[in-house]
Amino acid sequence: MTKRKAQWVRRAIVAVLLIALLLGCVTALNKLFRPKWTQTDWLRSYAELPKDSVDALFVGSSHSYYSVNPYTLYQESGIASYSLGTPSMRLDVARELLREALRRQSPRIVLLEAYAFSYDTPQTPAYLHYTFDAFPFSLRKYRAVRSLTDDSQVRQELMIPFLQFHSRWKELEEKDIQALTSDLSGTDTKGHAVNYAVTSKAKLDGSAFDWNGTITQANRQALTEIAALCRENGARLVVWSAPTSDWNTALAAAVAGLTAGESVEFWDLASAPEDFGIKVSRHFCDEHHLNETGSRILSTELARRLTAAGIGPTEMSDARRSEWSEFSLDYAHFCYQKFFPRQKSATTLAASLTDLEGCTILVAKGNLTNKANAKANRSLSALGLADFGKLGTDKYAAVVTAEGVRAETSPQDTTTTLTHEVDGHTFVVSSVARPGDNGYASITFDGVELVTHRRGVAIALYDERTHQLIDAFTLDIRNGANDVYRLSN
Amino acid sequence: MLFNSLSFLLFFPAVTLIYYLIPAKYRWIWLLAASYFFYMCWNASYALLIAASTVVTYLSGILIARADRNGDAARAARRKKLWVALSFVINLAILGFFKYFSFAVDNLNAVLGALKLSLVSPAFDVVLPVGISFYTFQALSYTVDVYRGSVKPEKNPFRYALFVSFFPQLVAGPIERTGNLLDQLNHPRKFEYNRMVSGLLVMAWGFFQKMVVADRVAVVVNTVFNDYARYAGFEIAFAVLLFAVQIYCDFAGYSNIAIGAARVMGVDLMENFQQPYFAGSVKEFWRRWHVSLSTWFRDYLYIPLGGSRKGRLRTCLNLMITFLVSGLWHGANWTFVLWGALHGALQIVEGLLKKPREALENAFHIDRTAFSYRFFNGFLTFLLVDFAWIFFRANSLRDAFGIIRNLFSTFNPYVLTNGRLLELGLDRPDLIVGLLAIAVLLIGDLLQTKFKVSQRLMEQNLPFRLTAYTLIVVLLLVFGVYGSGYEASQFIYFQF
Repeated sequence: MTKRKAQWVRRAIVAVLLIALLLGCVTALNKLFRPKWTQTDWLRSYAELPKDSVDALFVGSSHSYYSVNPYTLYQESGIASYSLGTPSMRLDVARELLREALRRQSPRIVLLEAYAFSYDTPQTPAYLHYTFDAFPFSLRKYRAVRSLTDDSQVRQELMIPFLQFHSRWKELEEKDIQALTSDLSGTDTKGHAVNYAVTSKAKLDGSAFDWNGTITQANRQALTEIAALCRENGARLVVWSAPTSDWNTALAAAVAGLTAGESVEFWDLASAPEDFGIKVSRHFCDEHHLNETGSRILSTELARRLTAAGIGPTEMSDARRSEWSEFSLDYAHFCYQKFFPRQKSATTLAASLTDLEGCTILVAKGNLTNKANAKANRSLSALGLADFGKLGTDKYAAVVTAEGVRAETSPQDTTTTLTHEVDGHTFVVSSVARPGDNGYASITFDGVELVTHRRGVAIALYDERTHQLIDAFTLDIRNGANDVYRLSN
Repeated sequence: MLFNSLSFLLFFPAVTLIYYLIPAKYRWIWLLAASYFFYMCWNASYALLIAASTVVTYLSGILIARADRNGDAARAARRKKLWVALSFVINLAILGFFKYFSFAVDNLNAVLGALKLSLVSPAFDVVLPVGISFYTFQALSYTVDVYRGSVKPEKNPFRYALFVSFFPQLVAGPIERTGNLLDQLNHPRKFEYNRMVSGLLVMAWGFFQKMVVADRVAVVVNTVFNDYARYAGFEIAFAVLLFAVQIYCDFAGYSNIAIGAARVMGVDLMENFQQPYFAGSVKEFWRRWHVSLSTWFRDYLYIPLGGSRKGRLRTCLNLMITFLVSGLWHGANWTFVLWGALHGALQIVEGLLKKPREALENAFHIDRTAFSYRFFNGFLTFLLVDFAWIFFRANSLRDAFGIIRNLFSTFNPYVLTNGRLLELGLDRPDLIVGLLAIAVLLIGDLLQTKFKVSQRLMEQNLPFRLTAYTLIVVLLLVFGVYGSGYEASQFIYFQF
């Protein structure tokens, strides 16, 4: 090789090295500077799911991520689901999101949330980021972006989010730095937003609804394309509506008519949510969205409908079961932290129960194996919920108030019940005995069952200061798995 | 297509790559197509204007050359003058219409209104075509150069079209001369690695000036100048000072990007800014500031008017005319005219005071090479130039005088330390970055007077260079002001 040639080769190597360095830097900057939105995390974690591991895929606006609870769906029906929701998602955005999502998964059913039919304006650039910041840089992404906006600057910034977010340099936080090594900044909840707030503002009378009365041609077209997309991918399409105050019968009728024309099923769960247990006074976290308890109730109903529609659980491989098991564990822990935001762990909760001043904690056990019961006893004892002596069998009920702990236990074949009156309401906490292995835990509030899953340790929390039921849930520790972690750790 | 846009970052490497891949004799065709594409990205129809200017000046060059073939010298001279005049009239008419039509109508309306006469209503709204002042002057300089016989007319109209439209310097200069640019475009250089790296470094410096400094300090400048009634004293002084930085970095930044881009393609454009704020006099300032324009005015206006050859009074008049026209060239507003007049007046006064001043300095044995002397002169010149910038930046003459009144209305140096400066549009981190960037700019300009910084950098070892290049790009990307920017308020779900 001549000296001149060698020099050119050296320079070419330097140029390639520099370009590689710069590309690496831009990739890192993209990770560092993108706002750590939960929605984007959901889309990213979806992309990392094992191929073809989702039975039911939910797509839609905030109602999708607030209302659909994959954890409950899995517990109730064994159906592996995922919720791909971004704020105020338009139908054309849903179409592009689905196009990308269906490349990775082959769900048997796609459930398109219906609220998007009421929108008559395009998605704003800012909101497009929620969806597209999670898309990998590719020609497909470019095509999707191109189909949604004509603005070249918006397109550029959607393709390379750093171009817009570079001015965040002055507000970078620790979690931004952590994002350099991890794609996800939060807990994977399979696209579900956990919100324990209870609001009294929600009204299911459509008063906040500003729909103009017609479904736009663009939305009609988008539905046709989404239906075709689902057909191409062998997925059944169902349009469904989540309980919200922004709903009325006119929209329901319009969507029903439109979907019928496309031969698409429409499940209207918004028009009469009381039918399956949604209470306006308890199950909304804000004026529009269901809270965690609401999501569990709705997801139980969704599980019922899906099962009835023939979408049962698919045979799971060990790896997939393990993935769901891990998810359940993380999710439970995440909920625990959300539920008791001031507590770091169950142990510290035990030491500082007085922090929950003004709160009433109601606990019941049910249908536990001896081994699980022993673990539950140790944990509940550590929490200070009762003295160990009263925790012998799994027939146990307790009410913890500021005045102290009132607990009852009884032999294995006898039902234990405690009644607690507060603010004119009546809680009934029971550990119900049933023949064989069919006992269960139950907590009712004014006669309404609060816990939808009744095996394990049921807990309800009532805040006497705000007169609100904060949450009710069950730690299923029967088989010594996941939820034991929450009690024991 | 702006230089500081992603489109340009894709366009430029693609054009350059193909430019070097195709045979040298066809490269000009590729460059011409790329240049017109570049221009048409703003407004495709305005390409007709640049084409019209090209045709007129091209034909004038051919006709001037042909006039010489005529045996009758006097007649030839008359014809040559006619073609020059026609070229000027047509080009300036186009420029005048697009740039000064609204200005003229507004002033006519004002005059007629004062005389209580009916007002003239323009029938349409004229949008200023990008870069029209630059390419018109460049094309006109060709006509004059051919007329003077300093260059031969270009016979190929398309090659000439490339001279007028060469994209790196098309929209904001430098305003090139025929002798320098046309020949380089007709005889393309081979690819040179070092030339490319050097060009890219000049571009990077330009991007730094434009994106990190100019566009950042512009926030403060716009806040104060657009609502000057709310500010006084040092707040205004701070904004005026920052405007001096902004206008320099904006203009010099764009010029450097153009120079660097052209260098990557093997074309050397003239240096347009030579550390102008280090000038020791207003006259010297104009030798360093926007050199391509000031030499254009010198060669094609000041000297034809008689320059300094026709006595002191005529010199003063010529200077004033040149600077008034220069002011008007910068924009169709009386503020620019007054800015030009101020610079003309400053230079006249400087010229008149030159001898008495030298006499005084000699009498007091003042060392003109001393740092203190040069610093004082530089500082004074900067203050005068900066003061004149008020007229350049103000939205109207009324605003300009209002700003000056408020500038001297109070003595409030405490605003520099009591946090008031943070209410001028930039928060603390951005202000700190802005001030640091200005310091880097100052150091860079200072070093540039001693040696070629880019050359020194290119002489370092490979790891150092790679690190430096990467760091430069990353810093530009992070601290540059570009794009739509991130505002949390746009994302009302942000808190979720």
